[in-house]
Amino acid sequence: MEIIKNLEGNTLTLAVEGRLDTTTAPSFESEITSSIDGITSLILDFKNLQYVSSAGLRVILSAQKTMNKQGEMKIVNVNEEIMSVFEITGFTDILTIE
Amino acid sequence: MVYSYAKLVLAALLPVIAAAVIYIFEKRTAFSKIKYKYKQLIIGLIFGGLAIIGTEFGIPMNGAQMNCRDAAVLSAGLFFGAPAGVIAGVIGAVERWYAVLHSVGATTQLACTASTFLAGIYSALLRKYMFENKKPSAFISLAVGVVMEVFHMTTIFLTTMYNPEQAVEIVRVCSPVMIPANGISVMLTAIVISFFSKEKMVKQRNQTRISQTIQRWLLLSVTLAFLFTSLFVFRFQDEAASRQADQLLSLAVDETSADIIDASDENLLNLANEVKKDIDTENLDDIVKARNLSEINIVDKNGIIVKSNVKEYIGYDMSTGRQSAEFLRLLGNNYEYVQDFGPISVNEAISRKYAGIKTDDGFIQVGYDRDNLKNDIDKEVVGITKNRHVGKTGCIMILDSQLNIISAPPSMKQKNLLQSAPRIEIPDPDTTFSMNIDGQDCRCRYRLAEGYYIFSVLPEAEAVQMRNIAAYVNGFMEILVFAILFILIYLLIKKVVVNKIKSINNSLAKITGGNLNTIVNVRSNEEFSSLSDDINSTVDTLKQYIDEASARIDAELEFAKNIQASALPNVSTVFSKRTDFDIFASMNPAKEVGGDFYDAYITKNDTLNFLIADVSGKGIPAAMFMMRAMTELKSLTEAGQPINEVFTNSNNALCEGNDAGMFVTAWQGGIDLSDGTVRFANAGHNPPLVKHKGGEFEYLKSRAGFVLAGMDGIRYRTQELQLEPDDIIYLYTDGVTEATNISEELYGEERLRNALNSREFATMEELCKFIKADVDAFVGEADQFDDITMVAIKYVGIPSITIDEAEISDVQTVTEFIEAELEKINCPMKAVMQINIAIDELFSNIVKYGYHDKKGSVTVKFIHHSDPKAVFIRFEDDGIPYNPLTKEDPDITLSADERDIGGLGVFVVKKTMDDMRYKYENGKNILTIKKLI
Repeated sequence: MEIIKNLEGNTLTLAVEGRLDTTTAPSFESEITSSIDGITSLILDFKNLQYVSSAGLRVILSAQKTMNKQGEMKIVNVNEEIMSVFEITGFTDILTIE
Repeated sequence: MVYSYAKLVLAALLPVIAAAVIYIFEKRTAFSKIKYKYKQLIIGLIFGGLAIIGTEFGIPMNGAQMNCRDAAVLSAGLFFGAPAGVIAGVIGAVERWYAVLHSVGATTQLACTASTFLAGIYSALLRKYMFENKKPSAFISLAVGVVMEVFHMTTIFLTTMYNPEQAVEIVRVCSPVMIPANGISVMLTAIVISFFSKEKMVKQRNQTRISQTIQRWLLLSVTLAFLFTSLFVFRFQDEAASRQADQLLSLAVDETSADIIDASDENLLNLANEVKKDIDTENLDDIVKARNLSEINIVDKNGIIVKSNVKEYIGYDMSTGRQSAEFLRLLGNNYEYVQDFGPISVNEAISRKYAGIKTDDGFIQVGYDRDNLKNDIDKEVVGITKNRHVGKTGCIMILDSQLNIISAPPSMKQKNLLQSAPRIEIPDPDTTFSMNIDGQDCRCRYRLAEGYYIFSVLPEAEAVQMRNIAAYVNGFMEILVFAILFILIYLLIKKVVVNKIKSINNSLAKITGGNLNTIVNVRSNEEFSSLSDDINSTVDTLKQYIDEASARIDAELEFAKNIQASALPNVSTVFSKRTDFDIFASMNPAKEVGGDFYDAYITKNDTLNFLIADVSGKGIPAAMFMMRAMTELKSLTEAGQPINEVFTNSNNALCEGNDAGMFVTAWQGGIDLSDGTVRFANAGHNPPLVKHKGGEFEYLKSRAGFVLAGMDGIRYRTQELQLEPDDIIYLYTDGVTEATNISEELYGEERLRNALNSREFATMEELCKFIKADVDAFVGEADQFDDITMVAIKYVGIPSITIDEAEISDVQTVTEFIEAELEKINCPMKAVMQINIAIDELFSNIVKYGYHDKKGSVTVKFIHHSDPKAVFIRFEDDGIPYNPLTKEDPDITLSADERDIGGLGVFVVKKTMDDMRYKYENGKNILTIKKLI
């Protein structure tokens, strides 16, 4: 998994590539934790992300919870597979997916 | 005497002992390995030696040698072989010829030599043509010996014709000894040999042969006819002999008495003439005294005694007495007259002989008393009898009134007739009677002449000699003729009937052996021609029926074949979609239906059950029993019983009502497809061949239990075999290894193993077909004898990965492994992703929670089915038992802030996968997910 950060003012775009699973989720989480301070808009670009496992979901959920307090978060370019995971898990209701 | 007979008995027993010894040698020693011709030579020499002993141990008698030589020769020929018989015969004959040189019976030299030589030939021919090189039974042996000796006796007659008395004497003495002695000797040899040898004797079956029946009737009728002719001939010869003897005797008596009377008459006439001369000059009394007369009477012309030395006779009228009146003829023309000795007219108590001579005035009569006569003619009488013979050995005896023998041949020892038989009453004269004279039975006849008993005597032996010769020759000839007839009938029947019947039987054997196209063709005579035709037409009709019946049976068998074929699974179709194993099975029945079978089916625990079995026998019965066994085994296996119980219970069930006594050999195994473990049981079946990856096919050594349906209550054992991916197991029935080619060689286990190892096989179908083709090529023209059945399974196995001391990071390794497998089956990307997520969730769960703080191993297996296309992924760990399926699903309707992330992973897996199962088995958590693709 690779994460490409793009910070424009208070808007942080994280383009995640590869797989977001048990092994990669911790680094994704620390990336978010370390760079989320003062960010009001967090954009997760899943264009090149293959899939997300529950470990990834946990990170996404905690990011969403944090962002609920300090701004907003949206996820873009979600592919079909990941979308179906979001749907299965009811994440579509709590996430902003564009 | 006793010693001589003991030697004879010994000579008779020696061939018996020799035969026994040779038999024992033949059985126990290397003697049996000697070549036939040398063996014959040795036996011939031994029995030739015994024949010599037979001659030398014989009893000499009257120019012959009573012996047991022929028995040795016959034994050699009959019991050991034609050449041995001939050799022994030649040796015995040559020795007998030269035995004359040391004074062994010269009279019978030619007869004995010839018959000994012929005994060898005779026994050889009998063995070869009549007994067909088998040993004759005791009874037949006895008959052979007896006939041989009868022949021997007949040759003695033939060669001593010039001296019939001696011939008769030899035969009379020898035949009662030699015929039984030789016959019994040969018989004893037969008995002893039958005791020592297991070889079947001629004529020991209960059924009679045609020739025997005819021979039996022949024996009966010929014996009766011969008995009748013998009696007739004997009676006739006896009568003739008696008549001849009578004639001889009476002729001798006649002649002798006539001679004596003549002598006596002449003597008395001489005296009378002398008296006539002296009568005028001398006193009568003086004349009587001087001439030793009893009486002188002078009779006048009137027949009155005018002068006599006996005073009271004077004045006696001659015509008053019958005896005296006879002299009156002298008053006529007769000049002299002599009267036979007889009672006188004056006193019947006195017997005298008278002679009278005519004188001028009457006649002179002189009378003799017996004593006077005797003195006068004794000399002449002796002279008469001395040179007189009756027949060849008979004689004339003169006896006085006290039966004292006064004249007889010098050899006569007896002095009085009654000396040896005092009580005998002498019958009337001129009849023939028997009495013992000088220790010899004789025929006698006598007449009284001049006061003498004139006896002619003919020894009985001479009297009946011709009769005896006729009787012996007749009897012997009858026996010989019968023996010849006996043999001739046997050979004739064999030629005319038995051989033809054999020929017909051979044809019939071919017909019953299945070759209905055989034609019986014995046309030597009308009966056999018609029999042949009848058989041929019967066979034709039979053939027609069989053709019709077989057409019907063919149709039914075809039906049965289809049913059987449909009972056996077509594994290449049934398991065509399976990728975790490759299987092929085939059954080629020897007949339309067979007793071999195989089976293969999957049971729920993902176990491939496979079975090969062979029912005893072939054809319909085997096929029916096969169906029963197959159903039984399958139903028990499908009921989930372990293999040992399947066999144990099937065996008990099959034993019930198995009246036909059929049984099944079977080998059944179940491959756990997830790990390649094979649990199997063997009920007396051939061991399968197993090839482990990289190795060669080897026979699987395992303990086989007893056959199924053989005996109830048998317990079978489960055995295990571990297969790794790409290992092959090959099962077969003995139709493969016992396939036989035309040289009667078996295909065999070694050839099978070599064929399997000769190359690599891409598929199991290829393997099975290759082996079948190899067996077919080996068998060639020969018929397929047994069902040929085989099952080959390649365990492809389940790709799996095991991670010891698993950590979270290892999920990547697992994912890569599964992805590689999915790529092989062209799994769609979406499914790949979903599966990856599932692996991520489940693997991490196990690592995190399964072992608490410790680290354990996790195995992930990949299974895929192609119809429907599905993928199974199985996680196995030996951590704490935990069934994730029992965990409640998370509430996915809560807002983000209320949400707890736990349980989501399993929930996602449940949602994305088509099935998910958990079991805890053998200390393992086994979680399987299924994804249809």
